[in-house]
Amino acid sequence: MDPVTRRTFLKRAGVGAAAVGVAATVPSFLRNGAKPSKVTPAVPMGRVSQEGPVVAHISDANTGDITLMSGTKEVTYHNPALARELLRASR
Amino acid sequence: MSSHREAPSIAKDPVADNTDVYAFVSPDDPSTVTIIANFIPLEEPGGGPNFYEFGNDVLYEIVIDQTGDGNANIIYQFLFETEVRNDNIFLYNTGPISSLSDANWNRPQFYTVRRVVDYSNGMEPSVTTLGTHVPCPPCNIGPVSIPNYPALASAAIYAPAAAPGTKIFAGQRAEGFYVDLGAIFNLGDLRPFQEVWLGGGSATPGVNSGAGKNVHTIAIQVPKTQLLQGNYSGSSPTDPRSTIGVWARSLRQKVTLESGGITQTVGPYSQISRLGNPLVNEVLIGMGFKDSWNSRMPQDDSQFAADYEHPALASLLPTLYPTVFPNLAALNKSGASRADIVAILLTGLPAGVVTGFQNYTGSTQSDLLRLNVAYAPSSNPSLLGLLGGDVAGFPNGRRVFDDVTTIELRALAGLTYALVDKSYTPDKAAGEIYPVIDPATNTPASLSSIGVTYLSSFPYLGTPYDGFDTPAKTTTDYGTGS
Repeated sequence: MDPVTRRTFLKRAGVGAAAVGVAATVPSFLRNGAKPSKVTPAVPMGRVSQEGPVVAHISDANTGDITLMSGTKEVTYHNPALARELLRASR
Repeated sequence: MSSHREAPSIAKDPVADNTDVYAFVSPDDPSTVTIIANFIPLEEPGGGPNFYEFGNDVLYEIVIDQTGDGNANIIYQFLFETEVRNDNIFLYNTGPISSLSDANWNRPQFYTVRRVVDYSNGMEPSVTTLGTHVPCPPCNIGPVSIPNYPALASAAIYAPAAAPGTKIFAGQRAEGFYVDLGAIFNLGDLRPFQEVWLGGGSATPGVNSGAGKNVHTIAIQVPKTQLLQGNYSGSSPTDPRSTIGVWARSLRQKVTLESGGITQTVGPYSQISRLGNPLVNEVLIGMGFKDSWNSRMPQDDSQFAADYEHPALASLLPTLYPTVFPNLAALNKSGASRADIVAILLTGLPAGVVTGFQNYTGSTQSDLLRLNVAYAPSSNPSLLGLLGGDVAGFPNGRRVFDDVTTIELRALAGLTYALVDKSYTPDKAAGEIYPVIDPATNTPASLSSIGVTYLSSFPYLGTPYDGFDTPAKTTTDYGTGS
């Protein structure tokens, strides 16, 4: 599935939604049975984009959870050793 | 402005601040529904050289709930992009702008719009791109810069081939909402009623704080059959399919990176502003919960029900106006839940509460602007909407001219409590108060006396005030009620 970022939304919408893929382009809160969520993704998530910045947020230093954000996608990566290393490097 | 600067966080982010939402059966084309979402509060028309525009890093959405569960069934999404034609000049325009493609317009804005539809039978939703690189009109700089603004705005009404019968507009408009902000937030000091206000004083005309101000509008006009469940025509007011719930929202990506004058955004979109019924987050939700309210979906609104059941403003009115609300004071003291407010704002009104009217969407409590599309537009509309016996007006959707401040103020003052408790007698003042202009003696056309004008056709909100003339006028030129 192609990555879908804000940039590609604008750039490629003109060539049709089929190129983007319905399942990947639908806000998750539209899906039946979706639970209420304080933060509701509104734009499609594809795989991690190679365009633009990639941000790593150490969301929980104790457990080693690192949230990676790229394009409009977010994944949580569990690596306590890397989290500790990044914290050390940031000081 | 019914939700302008209403929460601490969004007050610092005006391009994403959803100020008003309207939804009504189009008076000049009753087979369609018009939905309008306004953003950017209190635009000063002369505010150049960087005039107002939509946020290129904001996702704007108009959302429709067809089933009353407080969730989305149809979404119209808008993303904007801006071009700069001449990097070396500071001006917004380098000469008169006579068309949307005029080279004199140095900073045009465009948008992409798409319609996302859910299928409740379990099929995957579908996405249809309705338009790309669709031009917005410019801001109304002044009569020399833009000799014929109405023509430019008309040219910016977009009719997507992918959605026959639909019209779309995104751009600057005159503020259509009227309210006396200075009075309301000065401890409810309504100027026409100062004689009975706690602080005393003499009655003076109300002031329209929105006079001379502009907003940025996203408007759609869509055939009813494209909004209702199963492509229903909306012919019967008692058919549950005839009532839709509408709200709008804005979203930003989680992370913004600023470096060397370059801004990058990354991460999933998060909702930062939403609006269904007017004035809810502004005056019902407590200060500590306003940002949270803006981030939640309507389906979660039962958690805020206490703010509707026991509205703070209702408890304040007998203190602010100590001699004219004795029955409301007694009602407050009884601790009774305001089932009328809950029905009007959170579930819609079931059949039998108001004779001949209903817009109930079920027991799910969600703050939606509920529109029963089966009621035809009124040929003699009342600014008081349903309170004035006009079933085509708020809280059955909301028209651009509905005096929603007065309607909600009177409801909170107890006028509508008699709908759910026949033994209750509303105070006389509950049927008389208003902030700006007396809705009983005025019409949509006469609102021009307070600086508000509308169009008779899409997008209905008036031509924006121009930046050359408007600051030159004083507040005595417009904006005072009677």
